[in-house]
Parts: sequence; C-alpha cells; structure tokens
Amino acid sequence: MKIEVKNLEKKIQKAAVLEGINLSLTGGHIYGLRGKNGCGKTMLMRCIAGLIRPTKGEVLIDGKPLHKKLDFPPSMGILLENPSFLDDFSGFENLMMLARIQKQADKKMVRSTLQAVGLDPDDKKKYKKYSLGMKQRLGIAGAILGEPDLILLDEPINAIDESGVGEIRDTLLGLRKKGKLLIVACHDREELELLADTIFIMSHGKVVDQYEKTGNTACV
Amino acid sequence: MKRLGTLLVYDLRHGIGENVLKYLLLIVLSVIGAWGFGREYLPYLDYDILSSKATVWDHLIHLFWGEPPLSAERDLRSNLPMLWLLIMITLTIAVGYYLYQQGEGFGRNILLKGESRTAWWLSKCIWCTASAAIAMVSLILGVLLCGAFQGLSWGGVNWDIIRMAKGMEEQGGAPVESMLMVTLLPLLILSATALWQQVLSMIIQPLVALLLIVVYYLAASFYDSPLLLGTYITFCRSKYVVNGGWSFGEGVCVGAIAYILAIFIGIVVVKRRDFLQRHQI
Repeated sequence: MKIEVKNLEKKIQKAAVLEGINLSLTGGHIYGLRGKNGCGKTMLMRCIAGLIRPTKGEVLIDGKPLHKKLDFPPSMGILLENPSFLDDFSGFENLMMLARIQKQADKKMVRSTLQAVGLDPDDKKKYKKYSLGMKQRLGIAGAILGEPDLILLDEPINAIDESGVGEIRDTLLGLRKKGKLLIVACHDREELELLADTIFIMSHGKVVDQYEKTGNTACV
Repeated sequence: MKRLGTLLVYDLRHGIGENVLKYLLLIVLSVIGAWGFGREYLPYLDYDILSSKATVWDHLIHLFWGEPPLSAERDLRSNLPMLWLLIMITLTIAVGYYLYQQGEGFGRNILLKGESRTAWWLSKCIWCTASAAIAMVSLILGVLLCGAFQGLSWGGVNWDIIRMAKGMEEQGGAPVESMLMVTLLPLLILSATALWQQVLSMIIQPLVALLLIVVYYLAASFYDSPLLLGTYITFCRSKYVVNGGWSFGEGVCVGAIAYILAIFIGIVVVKRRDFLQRHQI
C-alpha cells in the first residue's frame, strides 16, 4: 500500500487544525507521529482514515483520492483515542462482530489476534468489566484483526504494563515484516523510537521535523 | 456497497437490540392503544343494530380518523389525536440517537469496516423503515386482537358505521384505496418522517431534530398542508369523507417523494460529514 498526503489542510470552525502536510508513506514501514497534545496527530490520522474531509489538499491511497474514488482506505484497522466496544459482549464476541462486517477474518483469526495482544479468547468476561489495560489491548486487537494493509494506532500503549508493551511491539513489528503500513501516534519518545522507522514531529497542525531510526534529522 | 448486507444485519440486531426498551414501549403502546381505542368506541356501536357489521377496517379507519384542521368549529383547545401522536413520538424517541451514536466509538469501527459511507447510510435507512414497520405492525396487531375479542368481521369498510359514529357522509372513492390509506400510507409516512429525523440528526443535535419532528407531527394535527405529511393519514380530511379532501394517490406520491428525497439528501450529508468526537464538533 502507498499513501500520499498532498498539501493537506483542515479547518474546523475557521481554525486550522492541520496545515501544509505532505507525506509519502509505503507498506512495510512503521511511521511514528510525535508531538504535544492538540498538535494534530489524531486529526491527521482521521484524515488518512477518511473520517474527515480535508479543507484543502488530498490523501491518495494507492493513487486513488479519498472522498472521490474511495470513502475509506480499503483494508484498514484503526485504534483512535479510546478503544470503544460493546459493553455487554466479551472481547471475542466484539471482535467477531467486526470480523463479520470485514469478511476478512474468521473465528480462528479472531482467537489468534486476541492471543497476539495477550488476551484470552475463551475469557467470557464482558467488555465493561475489562481493566483499562485489557480495553487497550482489545482496541489494538480490533485494529490488527485480519491483518489489514493499513493500521492506524493512536497512543496504543496507554495503560499497558511493561511486559504487555513488549508483546504489542513484537506483534506490530511482525506486521511490518509482512509488508503492512503502520502509523503510530505516541507520547513516549523512547517507545516510538524502538518501534518506528520514520518519526514525524508535529506542532500546531504542521509536520515540523522528521527523522529516520538511524537518528538522521531532516527539516520538512 | 458490497457490505450493505452485513451492515444491515448489524443495524437490525443492534439498533433494535440495544434499544429494546424503547421498542417494547412502542409495541406495547401501539397494541394496547389500538385495542383500548377499539374498546372505547365499539360498545357505542353495540347499541346499534349495525354493530354486527363492524369490521377490522372500520376500526383502523377510526384509529386514523384524526381531527379536522383548525377552523371556527375547532380551536387549539380541542382534542388532539393523542394515541396516534404518542405512537409517533415514541417512534421518534426510538430512532432518536442511534445514528448519532453510530458515528463514534464501536459504531465508527463498523462504519470503517463497511468501507462505504453510502452503504452505511442505506443500512440505517432500512433500519429506520423497519422501526416504522414495527410501529405499524403493532398497531394492526392491536386492532386484530381487539377484533378477535370483539367479534369484528374481515369484510370491507362499513360506511354506515362511519356515518353513524363520526356524523360524516361518504363522498365516494374505491374501498381498496381507503384500506390502503390506513395500512400502507401510514407506514410510508412514518418511514419518511423517521428518515428526515435521521437526516436532521446529522446536521443538528439529535435532541433538536427529535423535537422538530414532534412539532412537525403536532402541526399536522392542527393544520392542513401538502407539506405536512401527517395530513395525508388523517382520514377525516381525506376525499372519502370530505369533498376535495386528500386522496390515497396524493399521499403516496408526496410520501414517496419525501422518502426518496430523505435518502438522497442523507447520502449527500453523510458523504460530506466529518466524523469527529462530540467535543470537537
């Protein structure tokens, strides 16, 4: 998959939340987004996901413009802000519901995805009884279910314990190896540097800097 | 569009399943209301020699009789078609917040997995029509139950009874049309209005949309206008009893236009909509 973000701008009630963003992202890489709260990381993810329409510019998914030829990127998984599932269903049941819509995953895949994020697929506990960490893990499971080509994760390691972070990291790196394109927004600089190949620094709705894992810095 | 089927299964299951109390209220109100309404007027007919000729259709016509528009004889203090209004208001509450909620949280995941804004909206339209159908079927069920207990026949419309109970003369018209006017037309009008409520709830706050629709329904019980859909299902204003009144054909045309227009405008609105968190809107 290839994503091109061209001169992207988004205004909400006349206030620019994204401005002049140009990115070229390809499969087999993990891209990190870093910046203070309100700098536009989540909004950029929403734009790439097709949830919001840019005021100017465009997002191309494999050459096809979003909102013209596509409503949403095909084969996409997303964890945005807080994970949200149906309270009265177990983790397995919630994921099965997503799998039915997606038609790319079956029971076996749902079970293996839950195991990959450290959750027990046979656990009958309802989602509302889950701890914060379990909810977050399920959110990640929902995003990576069916191994979509594009995976967007907003603060994926929030509330997850240290050993869990390692498990999640291994799972995401495994997906990168399979050629998937991952975009991860994270406050934790160290964790982002362990995970991402390229990190974009955002401030006031703009990408102000970017650097590769090797440590080379280049102004955008 | 390829995932419309799975989206629809989700919406029917969760739109109704998660709001089961609202739907139960709608069903109970419709069944008991229709039955209670029949029990109220049928004893009156029992005193008359014609009571044996009362049919299920008479009951439905009385149920949709409504009130004439405001005039010198009828002012704002006069009776409202309370049962009918209650059912419609309960339907607006059932439809209420669902679409709005589906634009965030788990519903948003479903939207993304569906990969099509149009399919997502069409699925909500079918769910909305199904909700209106639940109200109508419950209403007819109440009439049938009442009919079974009161010994109503299945025959056609008995105009003698309408003349006697309502004091109005039959003005003509095909009996089949009058039957459709109290079955098919209310379903179309309810569905179209519920769809407009959905469209509005994407543009303004769902609560405001709900209140606007309630006012719209209320307006139809006082005023006669081709733009007030409720007018067409007020039997006492139809051509069957009023010279120059509304016909079934007019009701179907306007209802169908309103229904189709709501679907298309909804597609345009959904296509242009930003799916943001509540605090960002």
